[in-house]
Amino acid sequence: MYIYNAIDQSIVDARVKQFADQTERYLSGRISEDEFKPLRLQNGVYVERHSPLLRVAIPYGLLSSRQLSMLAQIGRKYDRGFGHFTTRQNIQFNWVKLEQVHEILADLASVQMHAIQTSGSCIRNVTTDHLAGVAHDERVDPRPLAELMRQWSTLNPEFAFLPRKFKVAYNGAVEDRAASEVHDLAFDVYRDEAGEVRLTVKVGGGQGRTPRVAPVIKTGLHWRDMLSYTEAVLRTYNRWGRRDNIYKARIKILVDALGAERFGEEVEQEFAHVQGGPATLAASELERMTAFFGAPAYHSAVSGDQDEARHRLADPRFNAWVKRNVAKHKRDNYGAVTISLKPLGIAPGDATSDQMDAIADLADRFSFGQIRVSHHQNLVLADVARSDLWALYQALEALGLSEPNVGLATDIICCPGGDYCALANAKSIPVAAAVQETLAAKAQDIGTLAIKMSGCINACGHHHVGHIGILGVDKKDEEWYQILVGGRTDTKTALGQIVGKAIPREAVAPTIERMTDFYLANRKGGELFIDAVERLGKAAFHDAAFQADPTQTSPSPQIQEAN
Amino acid sequence: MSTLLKLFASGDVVTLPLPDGAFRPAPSPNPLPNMDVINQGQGDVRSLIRPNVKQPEAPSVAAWEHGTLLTLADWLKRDAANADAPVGIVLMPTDDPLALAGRLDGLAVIAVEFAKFSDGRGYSIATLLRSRLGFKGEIRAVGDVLIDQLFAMARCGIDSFALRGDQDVEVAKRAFETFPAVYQWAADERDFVLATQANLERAAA
Ligand code: HEM
Ligand code: SF4
Repeated sequence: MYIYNAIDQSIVDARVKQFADQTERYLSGRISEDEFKPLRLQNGVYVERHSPLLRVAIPYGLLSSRQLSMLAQIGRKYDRGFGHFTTRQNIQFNWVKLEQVHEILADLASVQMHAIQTSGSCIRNVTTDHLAGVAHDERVDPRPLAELMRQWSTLNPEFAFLPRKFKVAYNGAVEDRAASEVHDLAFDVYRDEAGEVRLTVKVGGGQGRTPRVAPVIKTGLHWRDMLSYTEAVLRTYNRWGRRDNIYKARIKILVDALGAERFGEEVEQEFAHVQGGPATLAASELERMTAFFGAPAYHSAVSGDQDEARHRLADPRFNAWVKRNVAKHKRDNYGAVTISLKPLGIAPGDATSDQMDAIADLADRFSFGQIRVSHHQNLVLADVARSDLWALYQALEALGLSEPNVGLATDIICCPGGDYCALANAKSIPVAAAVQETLAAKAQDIGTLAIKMSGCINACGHHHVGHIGILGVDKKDEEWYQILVGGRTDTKTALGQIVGKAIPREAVAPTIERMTDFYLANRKGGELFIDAVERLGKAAFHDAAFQADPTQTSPSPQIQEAN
Repeated sequence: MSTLLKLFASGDVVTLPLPDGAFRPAPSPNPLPNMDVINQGQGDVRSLIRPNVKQPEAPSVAAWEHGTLLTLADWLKRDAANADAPVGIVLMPTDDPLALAGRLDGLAVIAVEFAKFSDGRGYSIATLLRSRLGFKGEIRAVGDVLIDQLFAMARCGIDSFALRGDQDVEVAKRAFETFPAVYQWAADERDFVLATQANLERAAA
């Protein structure tokens, strides 16, 4: 992984000092509330429903065991002994005190971490595939480019106050595990026939109240021009993006207004001026950066327990865990293990400090001391020898972290919702829990099914791209829920459609169960839920979900505002 | 009275007094934040959100030390030949700085309006004035010119700062040294750490 040099460290240290000073001036009344807000946001500090919250950057989701141990320690010292991993591959501490944040930032800086630009109207933490570097279907490892983007965007002065937040994602594989097409700026990385790394650029994706799949505006961009091109995109957005209405300020609205083609032309005009300019990367730079992300010292000889197959036969739960939680690795004798943070009864994505410490230890023992955070709010040990799988499984089982449900109906993505978030229309954690409980027994049979839940239209829980989405809505101060069906982000991206009217909380799990029952009764062969939706149509699933129980629906007309 | 900071290429900062009308006056003093309340969270904020943001209509300053500041439209209408005294203009966030291509002669000062400190258009405007048009004169930040944005403003090629009336001048002067190094190119042409083509050439030279 990328290791700071003295200059990187000096920048992060200076940032801690700057924020300590800003906090001090705020507390003594020398900075107003309004003026302090963007300063704290650009250091990851929100003030939520019951407490300030700190969001810490985990660049493209990659952590060392030492960093994870520090997060555990921070959870213990400044929070209530846990943290929440988010769909943006970050971690949030829900219960911090504002005047202590600069101390937390200093602790983070001691392990080469920070909270810079994890919120605010600026270029946010860069995300990518949690299997980058090990995925069997990878064209190019995107992490070296993501790190270059991280550095370039860090404290970028021209783009410190954009019209709205700006999220950049990279995908370098056949399957887009980064949901890149619902980001403001998405790069598809590939090699051309000459072996040169090039990028397809998509702009204006997003979720929230106006969900959009990002259209392509540039193909064949050479990686050396990546930052110049990004500069052109951002300058166009910074100058022409709307600032009169925060709901219309994202780049997707500008792209919509101009049309992707026109927007692309504007960018191209700007790019003509900056191409070959000072942001052009040196020819050796990709190589230098790639060296940080080199393969660990894999064993070619097999060691340890050879009997994966025997254990799988003997222990059906281990068998299910290998099937669901161990992804195919570039190397046949390795696997990428997902540690599900979705056992029943736990808010999706939460991990206690003790669990984080234990996972850090397991990473040292089994996976070269590294951990990744997936946008599904799970943790990944990406380089585990297959001969260690049984030992790792047993260790995880002892920690209550061996839930064999990756990609299943119980592996729900879920935002903090009304339990924490000051913007929530409805709670989401208890709804996710009810759905998990209802579907737990059938989950293995149902197979791959992405259920994604947001407590309001902001879509932090990705409900637009869930095979089934759940959205909290407010009706006269009551919490109601809309169901969406048909969204996906894998080899293609599609937005889900609202089906039926809003329903009360207790109806959510039974409604979804009727959809999965309908699928089980009608699937063909090995067809996945989402493929059945595409074959049978959303209307069929609507009918299955709603006609059985018409009394449960609310009296007011169907809410369409999510689109 | 307020203060104008002038930043020189050497890194020296000089202060000059500014007359009324040439800076945004201090707003009323801030109440002290109550940490007990803030650490309790802010409850449900949905009803507090105001999606509509008022856009500035007029510049927040009308003058500089040597007279009034013209608008972009006034300057473009003017006959370039009769420039006997140094001229200053002010650009609004919606103004296109590229309209000044070929019309920079005779301009001593271009003021860039930061109607609200969180409106970042001024950064791109200053960047374009310096790097695209090659303007060598003074670029001055006016309006909500606050300590915590000075570093970024300076990086975008702004070299004078009409501090808002309440800003602490001594703290402001130190703001230019907030970060010991920077990652990326910006219009100040300061050395940066990303290994770009330009940086390698610079190192080799
Ligand atoms: C700290 C409390 C949070 C607040 C106040 C908050 C606020 C918001 C808002 C206002 C938006 C909509 C932006 C727009 O449409 O322009 C949004 C979008 C989003 N947030 Fe959050 N969020 C919070 C927590 C989270 C968490 C916990 C996650 C991850 C689980 C997350 C991930 C996202 C994602 C993925 C989006 C959609 C991407 C997009 O905007 O296109 N947020 N958030
Ligand atoms: S989706 Fe809404 S309720 Fe959930 S975290 Fe985001 S803003 Fe809060």
